[in-house]
Amino acid sequence: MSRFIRGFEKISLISLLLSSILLSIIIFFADDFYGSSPGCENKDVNLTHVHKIVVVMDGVQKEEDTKQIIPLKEGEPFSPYRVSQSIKQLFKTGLFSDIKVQKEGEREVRLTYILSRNFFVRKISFLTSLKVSPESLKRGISSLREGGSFSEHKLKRATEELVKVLNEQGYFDPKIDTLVNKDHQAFTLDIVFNILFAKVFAVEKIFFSGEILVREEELKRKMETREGSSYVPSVVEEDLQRLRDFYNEMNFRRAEIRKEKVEFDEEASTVILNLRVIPHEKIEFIISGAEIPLNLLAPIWEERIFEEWGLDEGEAKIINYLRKKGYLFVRVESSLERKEQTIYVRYKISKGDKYVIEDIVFEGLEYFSASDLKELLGIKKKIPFFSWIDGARVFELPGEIVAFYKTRGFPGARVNMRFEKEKKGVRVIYSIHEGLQQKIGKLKFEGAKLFTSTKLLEQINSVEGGPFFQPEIEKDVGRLENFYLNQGLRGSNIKARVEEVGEGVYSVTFDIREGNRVKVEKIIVMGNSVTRKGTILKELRVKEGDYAFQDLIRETKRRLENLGVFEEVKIEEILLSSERENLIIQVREGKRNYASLGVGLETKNEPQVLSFWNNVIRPRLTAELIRSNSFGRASNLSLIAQVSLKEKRGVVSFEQPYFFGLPLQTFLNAWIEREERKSYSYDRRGISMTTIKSFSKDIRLFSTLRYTSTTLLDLRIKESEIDRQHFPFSTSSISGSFIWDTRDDPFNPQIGSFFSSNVEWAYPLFQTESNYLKIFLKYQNYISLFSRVTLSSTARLGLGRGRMPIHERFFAGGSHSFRGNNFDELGPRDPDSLKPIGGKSLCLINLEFTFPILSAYRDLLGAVFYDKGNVFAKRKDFSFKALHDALGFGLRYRTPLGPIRLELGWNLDAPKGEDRILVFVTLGNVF
Amino acid sequence: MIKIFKGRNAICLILGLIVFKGFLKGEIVDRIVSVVNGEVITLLDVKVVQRFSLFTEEGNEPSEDTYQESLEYLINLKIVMTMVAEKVVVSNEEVDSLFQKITMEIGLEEMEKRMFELGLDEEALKLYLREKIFYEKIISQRFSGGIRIALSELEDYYREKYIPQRKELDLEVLPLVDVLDEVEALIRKDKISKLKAEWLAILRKQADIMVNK
Repeated sequence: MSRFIRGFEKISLISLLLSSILLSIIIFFADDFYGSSPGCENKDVNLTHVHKIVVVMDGVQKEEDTKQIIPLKEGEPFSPYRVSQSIKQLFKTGLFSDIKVQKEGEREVRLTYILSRNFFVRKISFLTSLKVSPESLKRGISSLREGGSFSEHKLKRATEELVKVLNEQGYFDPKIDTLVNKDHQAFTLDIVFNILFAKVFAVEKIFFSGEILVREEELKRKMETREGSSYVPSVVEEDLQRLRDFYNEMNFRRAEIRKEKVEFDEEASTVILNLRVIPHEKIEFIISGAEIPLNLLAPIWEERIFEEWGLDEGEAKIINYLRKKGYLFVRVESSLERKEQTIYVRYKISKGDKYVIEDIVFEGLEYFSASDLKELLGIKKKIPFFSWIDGARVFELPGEIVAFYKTRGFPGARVNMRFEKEKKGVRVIYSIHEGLQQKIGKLKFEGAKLFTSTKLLEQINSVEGGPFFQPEIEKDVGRLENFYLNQGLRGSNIKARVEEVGEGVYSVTFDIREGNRVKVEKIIVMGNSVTRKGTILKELRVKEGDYAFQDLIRETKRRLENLGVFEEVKIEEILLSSERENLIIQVREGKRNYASLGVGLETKNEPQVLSFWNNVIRPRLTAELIRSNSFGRASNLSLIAQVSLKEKRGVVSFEQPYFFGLPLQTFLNAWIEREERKSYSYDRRGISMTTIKSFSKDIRLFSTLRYTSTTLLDLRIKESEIDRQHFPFSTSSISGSFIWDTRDDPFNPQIGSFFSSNVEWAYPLFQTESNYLKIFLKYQNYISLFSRVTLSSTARLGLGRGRMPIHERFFAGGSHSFRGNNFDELGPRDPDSLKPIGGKSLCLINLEFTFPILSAYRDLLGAVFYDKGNVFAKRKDFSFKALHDALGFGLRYRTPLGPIRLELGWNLDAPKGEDRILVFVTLGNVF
Repeated sequence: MIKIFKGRNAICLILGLIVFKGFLKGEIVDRIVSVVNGEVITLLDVKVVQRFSLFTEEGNEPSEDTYQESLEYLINLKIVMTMVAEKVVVSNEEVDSLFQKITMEIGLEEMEKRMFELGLDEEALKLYLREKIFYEKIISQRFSGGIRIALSELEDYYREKYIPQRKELDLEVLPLVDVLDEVEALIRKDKISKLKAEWLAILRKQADIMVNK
């Protein structure tokens, strides 16, 4: 036996080689013959069935459950067409870059799906010694992007694009090596473009040809590219624009300046730049009768246009411009004259008198009331001193009215406009002929078996007897299609049929071919390497065996995206038959580690040496480290450090979307902080757990368990104000908050309201000293009186009972509460040091009126405010008579983080010796 | 050579054949041959186009089936379908008519055989035919309308192409007046073909095309 094996070893290699070659030849020709003789090919193809399906992914045979993603199933009939369809469906999932299907057997077919997973680009970086910014290189690559899918084909195109970008930046024939580092766990990759070298050319000479009209030297001075400097095509392009602008200034508005020829000398590494100048005609504007900015007219004539059109367009722009300024009856005459190489464009303007629009009046209304029509067209009431409708809009209104009437079923609506002059004012009267309203006489649904007509009627906007407007019918078709998808049906086909059944009366029939109710057979989750499958499954709103309700599938996608751990979530429906489908959920996990460093400003109005007004802006540094998707449960672990001159704080926070399996967003915090306040400083250590339950977009409930230990330092008040025997003072408390927020924008609200109530009960648990109950209520309301004019009001009430140490009491004063006092300084004070000691009850009311100042600066607003409030040592001290008043005004500039406020507050009840007038600069709204 | 296949060598040869049979036992029945703007073209798609000569244009004689020609046709078709916004309606009657025409051309028995081999039923094949009609309608809609043919072009074509072709085929050369419509149609077809090629070349530059070799 061993002899046999030894002998086998000697010759096996050559024999194996020969036999394999022989067999390959046989199979090659056999296959060729097989392929070329259709009659011989799978004669019983439709009688065969799929006996076995095997999945090989990236060269590795996968587990049995992976074959669930294959749309073809074992036991089903085999056909090449069905295999082809399955490839297309699999590709649609976006998971695979290549798919091949191998077949074995004739009657009992074994199919092997050979799949190559798609890789996604995590990072694109550049290694180069060239003076180019990586950002500009990245911008120039459109075939590949971070987060996008990768393929060799895309990489090739991206490299070509990179060469182009480098050429534009003056680097020619670059040698680029690409390095692709794949992460086979996460199916992501990093691409490094290593730009080894590139040729650089110097501009030897710049020549101009054509009719340049000025000295060459003058043109060269306008250019950034100089003789002797590097040849950078993108800079030359900018130079050409500069030259065009130069000729434009000389009224050659159609001047063409182009690179005619660039002569490269490879040996000398130089180029000769030949630029051609074609000035074309000079265009002069002669405007009489009014001052019109030239940039209104010049762009019209920069291109070759039909001159009549150019004149008309210019007239329209002038008329519109002057109408906006109140010259409602402006007339413009235009003419054009050619003299040699110059075109003279003349506009003769008769401005007429300037008028104020006093009123807008509608006549002939039957279907709408005048006030309804004004509201629907967005015409607000006229308020003295505020801008109203302008003259240009007055002339646009007839078109808007006609279009509006059409949507209400009046295709023949006509509008005549006339004016009634009253000294410097004018009433604009729109005489409306509504015409016949087209109505829907009958609404029918044909072919619907699964749903009643009543149910279907609920889904659409059209109603019997209502207006007939064809585009609205089309929208109803879309609504019905969506309804069917949301009911789990696929393949439904809906068409609207419209017939005129009387004068202006239409019968609308929705022909419905209902598809099939499709059930989700299998839900396959892919792409999660860190995130636990259970974490994803918790977010699903459809289960295996459920009907494929599309709204629930969309909701599932939204919930997965909201977890904040995926860069991309895709849900593909793979139809297996007309009645079942697989859902493939593909997620792409995002970065897990984040670090941020922020430098900001902190404002609290405390007197400081460096300040020249009452409040101080101090620098503040924030550093944050976040580890996202901890334990694969979509939890975030973060370390935050905040340092300013007055505060130092370190926080460890753990956030998770579930709490013991319940869908409650939970935060576990532990922190250590030191803060300097007016009357004292403190060191605090604490831990807390907060859970948040959202009931809707607007309503949320918070509950918090908290333990803190506070040590007071640097007391500037009498010791009687603190419980020295409990030092440090520890608190254990439970609190609940209810928030109802309907504001349009939390940072710059203009409309809506905000209500919050908080109850905190501190109980002497685990030998803590705390024993108090605090309630704090807040209500804010924003009313938009008219465009950008807002009236806002805030009311706050705080009540406490029990042993409340100074750091748990209510304080007020400052730019966010009462603008007649400095920070924390409203309310009871220490009789010796006059420092605030806080209280057990608080009442604050703020009223504010904001309005635009300059129409050109939409984010700049003026404000007038009135604050009323006080803090009382005990609840029984509370008295409305004891509330202080402050008046003031200021400016606001809206930013995405809230308004920057400059305010001047006047305390009407300031005690003698205290500042009556205070200046505040701060960011954010009163809260 | 014969010596090599004697004795133990023969056993090794048989073993080798068995081993390599294992490697080569399956055949690739289908695969992705191209992806055009995210749309997949499979090997079966190419085979369908080949077997039913779908890549030939209306009025042309069916060409020799070639893989490359069919693939190029499918790439152009996918480009047009994904990049052209024009709306074209293809009626069921048009699809049925093309189906009948192909059946007439290749015969019912052959038609059924080819469909059977590819696993296609009538509905499935008609999806391919619908796409073909859509593609041709788009081309026709885009280019047929604006083509003007000058008299000089008619004369040049008649003199330089029409007469030599007729003579080569040993056919009677009719006067230009008698064949004006025929010559005009030929020129129009050439022009459309040229415009179509230019247009597709522009679209191809903008398209994302991947071809698996």
